[in-house]
Amino acid sequence: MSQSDNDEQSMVSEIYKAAAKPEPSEVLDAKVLNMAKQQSSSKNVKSSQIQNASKSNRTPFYMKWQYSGSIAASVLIIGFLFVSHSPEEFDAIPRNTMQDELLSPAPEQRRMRAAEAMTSDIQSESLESADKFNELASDAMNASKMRLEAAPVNQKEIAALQAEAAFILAALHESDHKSKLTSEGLKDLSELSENVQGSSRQRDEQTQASLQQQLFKTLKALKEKEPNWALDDSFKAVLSAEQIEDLVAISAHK
Amino acid sequence: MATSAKRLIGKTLNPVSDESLMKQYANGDFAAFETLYARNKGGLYRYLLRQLRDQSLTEDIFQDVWGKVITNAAEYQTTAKFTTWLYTIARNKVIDNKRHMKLVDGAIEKDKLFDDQTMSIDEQAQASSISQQPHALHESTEQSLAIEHCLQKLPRHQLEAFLLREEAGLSAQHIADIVNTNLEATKSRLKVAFKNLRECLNLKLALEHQASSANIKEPRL
Repeated sequence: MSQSDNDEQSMVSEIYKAAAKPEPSEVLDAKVLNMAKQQSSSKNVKSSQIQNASKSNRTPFYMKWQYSGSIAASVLIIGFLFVSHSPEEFDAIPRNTMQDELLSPAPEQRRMRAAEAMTSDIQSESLESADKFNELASDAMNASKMRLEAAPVNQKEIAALQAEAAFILAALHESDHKSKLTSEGLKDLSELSENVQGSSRQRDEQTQASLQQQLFKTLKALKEKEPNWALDDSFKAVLSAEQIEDLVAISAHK
Repeated sequence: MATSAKRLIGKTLNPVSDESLMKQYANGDFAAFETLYARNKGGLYRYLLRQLRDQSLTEDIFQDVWGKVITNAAEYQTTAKFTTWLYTIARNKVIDNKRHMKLVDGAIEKDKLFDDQTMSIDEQAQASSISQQPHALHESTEQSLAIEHCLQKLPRHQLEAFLLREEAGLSAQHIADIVNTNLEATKSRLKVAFKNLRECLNLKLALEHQASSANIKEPRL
């Protein structure tokens, strides 16, 4: 800024300062000051209330976050451990992908996809075990058929019962294996798949119980026909204590 | 020079800054507000009056501005200069009022109203200066009237910048912050405002001199 500009400014400024200076009226001053006074007194009341409140509540506000923070951290840690220590059945799916799918706050579609992937694997394992069962069952049937053919005429009924018992036992073992597989394998699935799992598990238990009952009946019939027939350990493992006692009592009675 | 000297004296006499006074008031110290108000009331009042050119409207807006300062005292940040904050509130109120006036009245009616009010302000200023200083020099009265006249002729943006400089004592940077322009534009606006005022004053005072000398000569003739 040049010297002439400065001179010009100072000259104008001096004239302006020397000119009449209207001021707010006293009434206006009183209004503003009164407004400020009221606000100030209400502020004092408020601040004293806050001070009293803070004195009565000893826990500082920021400390209240520790509870929610620790809860969130615990949930995260448990979730991580739960997923990282999932059963071996889950290894069929690449672990990282599965964890990502389950842990990430993904939309419902993704979670459904993860659940589908896991159930499809379990289903494939179930199919494998079903094949195994078919093999075992056909072996048992063949063995019992051979025994039936080889057995004398009076022993044919006993041999048939023995074959039936062996078949039921094989079926029981298969059912037991399957229920274990489903109960462990589906443990980590989402809520939706858990409902499906629950119903299938219930169905398996019912099948197992009926097979056990059928085996008991067959063995009972066998014992009545042939009291000297010794109860194999494989049968004892499947039957309940009461059922074993009943069978022993039959042979003792005879 | 004289202005800066006065500011220095003011600061020496009142060592407590506006910002700390505002902070004290926010903590409930009413006496701090009294000091703050006494310091800034005149400048703010004139800033509003010279732009609005209506005394009752000026009083309403003046009260509104201080009302806002009072209610928002707790939110006031000491990093901002108090006068910058105060005049930003005042400017926004003036703009709001002008928008409102545009909507309510037509532009022609508004101009007419302003002309009438301008006359009344001229009369008020003249009356107050005469009543306050009955033995005032004729020259100073002439200058006062001339500056009042020239301020009314000044374009709105230049007038705003000039008033912020003279009444609030703000630097070009602070003025730029308030009026939302860059520093260079504000400097240029101030320069043009002072130049226009100077030219207007010279012309007005010359005319006054001519008129007064003619009046003196007339009886002789």
